[in-house]
This record gives sequence, structure tokens and C-alpha cells, in this order.
Amino acid sequence: MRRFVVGTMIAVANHVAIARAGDEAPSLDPGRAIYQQYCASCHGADAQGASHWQERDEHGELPAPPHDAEGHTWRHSDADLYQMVNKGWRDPFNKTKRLTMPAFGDVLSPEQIRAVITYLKTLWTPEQRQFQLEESQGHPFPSEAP
Amino acid sequence: MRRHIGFARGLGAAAFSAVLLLVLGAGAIRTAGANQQDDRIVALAYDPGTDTLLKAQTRALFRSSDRGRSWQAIAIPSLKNGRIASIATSPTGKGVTYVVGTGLGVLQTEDGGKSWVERNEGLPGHDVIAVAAHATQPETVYVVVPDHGVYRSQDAGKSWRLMDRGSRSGIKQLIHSDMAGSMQTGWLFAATSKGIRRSMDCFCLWQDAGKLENEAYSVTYDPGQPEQIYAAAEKGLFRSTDGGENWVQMTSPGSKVVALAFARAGALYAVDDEGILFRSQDQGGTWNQVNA
Repeated sequence: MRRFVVGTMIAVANHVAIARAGDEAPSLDPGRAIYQQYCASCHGADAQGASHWQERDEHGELPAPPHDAEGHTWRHSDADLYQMVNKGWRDPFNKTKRLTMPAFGDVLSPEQIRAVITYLKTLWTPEQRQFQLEESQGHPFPSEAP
Repeated sequence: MRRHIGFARGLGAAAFSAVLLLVLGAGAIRTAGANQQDDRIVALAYDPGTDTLLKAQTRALFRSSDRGRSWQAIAIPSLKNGRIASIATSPTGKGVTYVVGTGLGVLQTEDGGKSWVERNEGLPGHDVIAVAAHATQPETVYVVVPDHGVYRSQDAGKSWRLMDRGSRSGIKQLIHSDMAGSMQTGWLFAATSKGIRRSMDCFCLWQDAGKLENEAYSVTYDPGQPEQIYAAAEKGLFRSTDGGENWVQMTSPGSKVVALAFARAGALYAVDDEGILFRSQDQGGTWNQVNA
């Protein structure tokens, strides 16, 4: 029994250590699960984006872009990505009153927002990850999402 | 027989003279053509830090401190090997100007043209066709290298990073604007062979800005109202009040406006293909010729 408890404690400690290692060795499951629950309906189960995402629809709205290597998510810093998920974003040429990207700040915690962005990073090429890492220097996740 | 020889000699001399004239004439025409090319205005720019207007020909740069009435030449090194394609002033600097061109690369001055520094470290070559200074970040500048794409520097040209891979050879002019609504820090507008194109400065997506659908030569905007954009195109002069979504044709001061610049206190400058400069104080409603 004692061996089981110690083993469990070590496993938990390891999990916490991995989770706290941040972007270097993140636990992707929470981010992936959040993505599938809140993002996949628009951005696609495989983050492939909506079809014709580069063309405005009849309302002037841009369909949801891919989050994989074919999209442009990797071009944004951690700070910008966090802001877009938290507050949403409205394309100024959108003819509707709707946000182009809905705000999830009332639905997801800061940690969950960071987790889902961390998951998205696994969908990019090494070059894109490096680019995004450099873009994030000076523009990191906010302190509310440690 | 002697007369025939003399006649033949005379004929030969005449033919030689005719050929010589043709060769020299063709050379003169070529030189005149080259000079006309060199005299062509390729860009206008306004430096708000010094309240100075700049105009560039393919092989010369000029400055005016009296709203275009008189011009002083600014000496630029390396012009023997290249041709100026575009110029940009820093909206947040004072006397900071970038000059780019084919065979020229990127040249920068920080003292109004007294001294110049080459800023090509990290670029794939010396053929650069357009330059834009960031509207609010003094150290950020963009250049277009044909067949490679758009590069960005965040240290005033000391180093460059490829931001937007692609040919981009159809870009005639590039400007940066702090118009609201960008996912990042602003917008880029490009005058291209197919009209005006627009992208947020994350280079997420280039799109046609409205349906101008004819070759654009120049684009500028009102820094006080960034959604007000002006375009000089093959079919005339156009104005948009909604960030380039819709365009209205304006009165054009010349037969073919090739360059535009927006200056302090709402002055819009336009120069036509004959090098004549015009000025408007009412967003292009009426024009006055500044110089001949």
C-alpha cells in the first residue's frame, strides 16, 4: 500500500512538473479537449478551417481560418493569441454586428486559454513554431495566465 | 573608269556618313529616352518631423521645405549602379528616410540626407521595389524584394526577416497605416498592377481592397483619419472613406497621376507623369498647380 501511495505521489509530481514546464513539455490533453469542445465546430476537428476561409461571405464575414500549418495562427505572438481568444476580434470590414472571432473570456479560464493555444502550437511546422516563439519575445502570455 | 571609281568612292562615303548618322542618331535617341526615364518621378513622400516634401526620380532625390515651390537635390551614394523605385519617411522620426531601388538595395538616412547607410544585411539581394515605414513604431520598416516577398525590420533596417513569402513583383508602392481593426499593429496597403491590395501587418491574408480593378501606381492615406485612402490608378484618381472597401473617382489634376503623398494639415499632393506637382487642401476636391 505504501509503495502504491509513493508511486502515485511520484506520478502526480511528475505530471505537475511536466505541466509547469510550460511550452517545452506541455501536457496537451487539456488543450486538445478544450479545442474539440469550443473551437472545432468552427475551425474544424483537425483545425483545417472552414472551406473558402480566405473569401468573405455574403455578409462580409471571413470564415474561420485553419489553425494548422496552412493558416496564419502561427504568425501571432502569445499575447495577441491570448487577447483574441479572451476578447474576440472583429474584422472591421465585417458588415454584421457580430464579432468575427467570438470572445471566450467568460467561458474559459486564463489557464484554459493558454492550454488551448499551447495545443495549437503542436499543429505547426518547426519553422512556424520558431517564428512564433520569436514573435512572442516581448509579447508573452499575460501574467493572469502563468 | 576613274570617274566611276570616284563616283563609287563618293557613294561609299555617303553611305558611311548615312550609317554614321543613323548610329549616332539612334544613340542620341537612346540617350534622350534614358534621360526621360531618369527624369520620371517615381515617388513622393512627406516627412512630418521636418515638414519636408520629398520627390524621387529614378536617379535623383529632392527635398522641398516650402510645400513644393522650390527643390534642393539630395546627394545619394550608389546611384550609378541602381535606380530608385520607392522612398518612405518615418512618420515618427525626424529626417529619417529610406530609399530603395533595383540594384540599390536599401539606403537610410537619419539626418535628412546628409549621410546615408546601406541597410541590406539579411536581404537576398539589392533589387528592392518598395518600402514602407511603420505608422507608429519608429524602428519598424517593410521592404518588398521581388521573387522573395516582404521583409520586416524592427531595428531600422539593421536586420531583416522574411514575413510574407511570394513573388510580390506587381507591387508598385507599399504603405503602412495604423487604421483600427488589425489583429496586430496596423495595415499594409499596396498599389499593384491589379489595384489596391490590403493586409493586416501580421500578413495573415492579402485581399483586394474594394474593386478598383485597374493598375494602381500610388497609394496614400490621411494619418488623421486612417480610413481615408487615396489611390492613383490607370483610370484616374480615387478616394475611399472606409479603408479601401469602396472607391469614388475624384477630379484628377493631371492626365496621369503617378505619385501621391499626404502632408500635415490635410494637404494632398499629386504629381503627374510630366513631373508637375499639384496640391489640394480639400481631400482632392480642387487642385492647385504648385510648380511647372
